Amino acid sequence: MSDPIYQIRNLRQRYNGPPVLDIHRLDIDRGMVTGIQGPNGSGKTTFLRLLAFIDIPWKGEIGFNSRGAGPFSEHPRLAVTFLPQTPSLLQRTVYKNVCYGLKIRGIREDIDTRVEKALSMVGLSMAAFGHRRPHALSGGEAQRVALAARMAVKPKVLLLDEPTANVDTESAQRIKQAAHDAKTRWNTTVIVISHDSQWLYEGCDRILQMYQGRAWDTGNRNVVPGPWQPSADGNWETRLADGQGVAASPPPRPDATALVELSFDRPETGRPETVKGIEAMVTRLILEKKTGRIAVSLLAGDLVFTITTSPSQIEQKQLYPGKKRTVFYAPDHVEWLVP
Amino acid sequence: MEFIAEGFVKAVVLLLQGDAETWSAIVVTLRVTMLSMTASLLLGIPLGFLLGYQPFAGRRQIRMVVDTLLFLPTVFVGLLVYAFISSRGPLGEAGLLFTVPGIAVGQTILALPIVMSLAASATEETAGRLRVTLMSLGANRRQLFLTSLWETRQGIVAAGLVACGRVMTEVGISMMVGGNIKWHTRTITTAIALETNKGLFAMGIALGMVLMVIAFSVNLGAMLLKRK
Repeated sequence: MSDPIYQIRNLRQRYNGPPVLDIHRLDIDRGMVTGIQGPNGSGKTTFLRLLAFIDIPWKGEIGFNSRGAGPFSEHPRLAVTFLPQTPSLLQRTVYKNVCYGLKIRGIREDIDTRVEKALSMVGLSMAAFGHRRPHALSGGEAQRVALAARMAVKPKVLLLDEPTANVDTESAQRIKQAAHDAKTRWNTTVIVISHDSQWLYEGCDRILQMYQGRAWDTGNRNVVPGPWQPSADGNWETRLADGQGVAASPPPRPDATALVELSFDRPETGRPETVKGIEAMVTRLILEKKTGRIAVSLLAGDLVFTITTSPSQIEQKQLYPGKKRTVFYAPDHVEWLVP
Repeated sequence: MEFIAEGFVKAVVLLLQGDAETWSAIVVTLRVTMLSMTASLLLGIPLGFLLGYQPFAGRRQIRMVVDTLLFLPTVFVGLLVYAFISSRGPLGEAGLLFTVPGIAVGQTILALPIVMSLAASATEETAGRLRVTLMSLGANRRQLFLTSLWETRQGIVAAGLVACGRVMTEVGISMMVGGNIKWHTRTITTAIALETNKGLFAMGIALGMVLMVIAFSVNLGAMLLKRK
């Protein structure tokens, strides 16, 4: 049975212009690791700031533990913590940065031990780093200190905005491990934005895809942006960079974006003649540790598609990197995102 | 060049011998600076912080006015204060003309926009940057306000330093409102101007050296404060 910690209803956000986020209904379960991926400008950070109760939504609401909440609401304030992509440290020592969250919670006992543990979770030692000031830290170290400050308070929810984007390999590995530890030690609900597909597919219980402010569960639905033009067969069509056409039923607007369900098997539509194919090259295989399935990345023109499939189908269809394969879709079953 | 070198030698002698006239100007300068800086910091820090911290209707307009006041010429401030506190002015009965408090009033008007503007800029930068960090660590509104204020301390110290430098080195207000009265309202800068006009460089150089020592001490104190 699902146990949502967040209940999002009709959530919309905008900044002096058209909406940049539009999520009709979404629940996020307690104790799960949810990954969010999508191109720049798709609304990922906006969404995470709203989940962190930093910003006030333009419309709609976010329920937290079945109660409405907003910035400075008491029940999520001490439970939810957010690590921005470029976190700012306070102009004080690493030790004082990490214990800030503890102090404002009124925790006075075992501060040294808690700070030491939090620093060790991100691979930093108290002896070497505790007395340092922010200017004496590298970018990766600063990011890890910022994460340690969040880990020190044993959060119920940990929101991470591209935490490994600007750090070295070691820091990235430590950050990933710390996020994993938070879930296993304290049953923390972790929501992470990342372009690191490998991390998301390997470590997340669920992956959300975002595009133009919309969010949906990653499956085999893939984004095909417009512009669309009418074609001779009554469908509409857009051209990929390699010249292939992608067909779809008439869009609501020529610049709408299509969500196309792709498959390695021909979908059963009742009318086989309506099924179309796209030639694409397999570029990467990632194992989803939780399900045992494999996410196959494919390149068609300049678009990257992802289709999740079983290991047996990988072998059966020889879906190995470098191989060209046809992926199928039904133009009549396209969903539309309107900007 | 010789007279300049002689001036330096005589300056050292004047200071070491404790020349009463020289030390009188130093004491008056310190008193005036202390008064005006206390007033401008007490008013300017909270006002500047609020101006940079809290969005409200008319904030940009107020900010524009404050920034414009940064360009106030000291003689114009002196003129206005003189007009208000002279016997014909609305505050004539306060008896502030040609007094140390009178000069301090003028210098406060000079320093206040500097403190406000620079404190507001520092707050805008720091509080904006830290808001997400502090909220995401669980700060409530009061904790957010107080921590932002503390984290802005370096910018506020810098604002105080700039204002202090402007106050200590201005001539116009001290001359017009204070009247440059020996033993009473003669400050370091008005004394330098007067002595130079008389061709007596030694006292001017001595006072200039003292001004630099005071400036160095203020900066040293500020640097120590920033480290905390």
